[in-house]
Amino acid sequence: MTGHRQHRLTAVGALLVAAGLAVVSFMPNVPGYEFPQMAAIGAMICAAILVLLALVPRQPITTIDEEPIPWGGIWPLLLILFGFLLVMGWLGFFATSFLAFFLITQIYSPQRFHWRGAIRGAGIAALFLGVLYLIFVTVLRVQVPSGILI
Amino acid sequence: MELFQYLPQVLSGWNLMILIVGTMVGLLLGATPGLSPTMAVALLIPFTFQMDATSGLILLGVLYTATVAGGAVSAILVNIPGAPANIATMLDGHPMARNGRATEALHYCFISSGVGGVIGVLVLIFFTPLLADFALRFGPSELFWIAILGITVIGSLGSTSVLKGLLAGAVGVWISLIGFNPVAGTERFVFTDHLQGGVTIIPALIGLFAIPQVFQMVEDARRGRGEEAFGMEQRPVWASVVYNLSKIRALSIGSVVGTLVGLIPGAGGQIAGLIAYDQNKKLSKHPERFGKGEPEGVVTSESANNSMVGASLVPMLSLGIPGSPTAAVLLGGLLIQGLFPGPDLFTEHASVAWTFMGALLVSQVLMVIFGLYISRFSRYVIRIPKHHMAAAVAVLAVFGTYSVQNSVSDVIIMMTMGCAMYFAMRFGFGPGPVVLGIILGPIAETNFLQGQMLGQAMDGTFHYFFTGGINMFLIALCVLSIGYSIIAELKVRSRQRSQSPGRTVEVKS
Repeated sequence: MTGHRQHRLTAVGALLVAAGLAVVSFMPNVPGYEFPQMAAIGAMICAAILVLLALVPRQPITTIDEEPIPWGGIWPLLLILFGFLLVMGWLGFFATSFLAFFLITQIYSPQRFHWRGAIRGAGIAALFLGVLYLIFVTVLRVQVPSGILI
Repeated sequence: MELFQYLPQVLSGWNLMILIVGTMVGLLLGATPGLSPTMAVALLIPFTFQMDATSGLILLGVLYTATVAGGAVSAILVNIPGAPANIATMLDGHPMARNGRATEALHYCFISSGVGGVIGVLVLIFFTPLLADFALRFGPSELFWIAILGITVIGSLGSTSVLKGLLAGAVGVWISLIGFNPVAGTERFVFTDHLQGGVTIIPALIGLFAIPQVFQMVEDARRGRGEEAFGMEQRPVWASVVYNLSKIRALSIGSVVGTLVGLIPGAGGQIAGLIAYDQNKKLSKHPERFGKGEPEGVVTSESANNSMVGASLVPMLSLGIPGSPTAAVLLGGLLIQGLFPGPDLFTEHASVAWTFMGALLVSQVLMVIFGLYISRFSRYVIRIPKHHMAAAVAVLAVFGTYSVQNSVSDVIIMMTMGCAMYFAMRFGFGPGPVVLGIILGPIAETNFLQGQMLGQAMDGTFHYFFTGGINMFLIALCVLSIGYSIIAELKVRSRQRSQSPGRTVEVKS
């Protein structure tokens, strides 16, 4: 996709998001929505100018600052973060954090997978979470979600 | 002078020990991404139960000072502000670090924090009764205009395009209005139970800054850029001290703005750094250098943050009205000790009040000494491989968010906002304006609605918001701020046009 085309699509996307905010702000016919309506109108005006500056001239006047999304690299992290939310309440914060820490370090390690590296990664995760547990849970009595494990 | 009378008590063995330990703990907690000063002070309140009132208050006060300064460490080294107050520091601090000037940035951060902090505490010591009257003059209309003045800063917040910055700011304001209308009590935009409590500042701050950074780190690690991104240079402290103290304009703007914002109850001390940064950028001969590693950016924002600390305690100690969220938690600590703020505090409990203020002054000096000392060890932070850092930041983000209110909903909001922000950043939108919108939205709305009701009961809404000396002064500042942004941008555009005729002109903030 060319930079200009992506820039124009971004402007149109921003307008659609702003329009969405305006629709949900103006739909309820009850008091208490005046300020969100003002914010939505502000967003609509900015987005409309963005669209005009991106679409009307032959070349966009505003900065072309869009970058492609590296889906290939980020999908494992997205899955880990989503899984963190799902599992945390059931397994407990520290157990889930250990798994997430271990998975992130193993998946994104520049070295190829090796058992020795995996054991080292698990050790680092355990040490980091151990220090966190000691300082915040034992000493400072901070509450964390607990499940079948800690 | 009572302060000198109680100074030996400040420097007595036990209190000095609390000051030293509190400074070190505060700097470390502040430097941890996701742990805000408010949370650090709240976490340590139970430890004060066993202490006498003076020692307990000293611990909380020194933590407040040290965590605000410590938050700049993660802002400079990892590009994640330790607290909302450190957003402005990040704008130039992290580019400085990436340019190989991390040690210099950390030096400026602690020296400026010390200078600003001392000024804030001196204001607290010498002008408390006088300034308490000034703080009381700020009603809903004045606070509304302060919020609007804060919004005019959005153009300076590092987005590539001013328009995208304003749009992101408006979306931030809208997001902050999710939940209940503060005056009418109407429930708004609660599409799921998780949004029942609205979107609060800490989950938003952590999500918007930390999660995109996690994505960025894993991307770097995957592309083989996982080792340290920048080196830590060797720099003598005295060179930083001399340079820092020569930046009188930046220090003055930071300290004055920080003090004024801190004094005003309900203005949200978090915006002190941003407003000071914006004003210094506008008055600078080289505004185009800001956001690319300009030392003055770090100097102004850090002096503002720490002068805000002392000033925010003026309305708290004299009127019982906290000037910042952390001051509100500190007020809780004061009440737990059986002390009630007000003029009586300085007569009936003079020993506690003056020892506390003296300790705050000493804590500024300790913060500079320990801050400069720990900045030597910051090279170990940047040596951590990116994939390990990403994993640690992700875990700390969840931990920090959950522990604020023990709420899983906050964690879900944090993660959702963080992922959405990562994608928005790929399309040229920055997290700074969104956070500023989230901070200022509730302040603007609450005061607008309260002002509207007061106006209707008096001479009309328009009359209420557009008359009065402070209102007119703030409106003039808003107009000047916007006007200056437009002129500065036109100047940059005409300069770019003259440098590259025939090329597409880019709108840079």
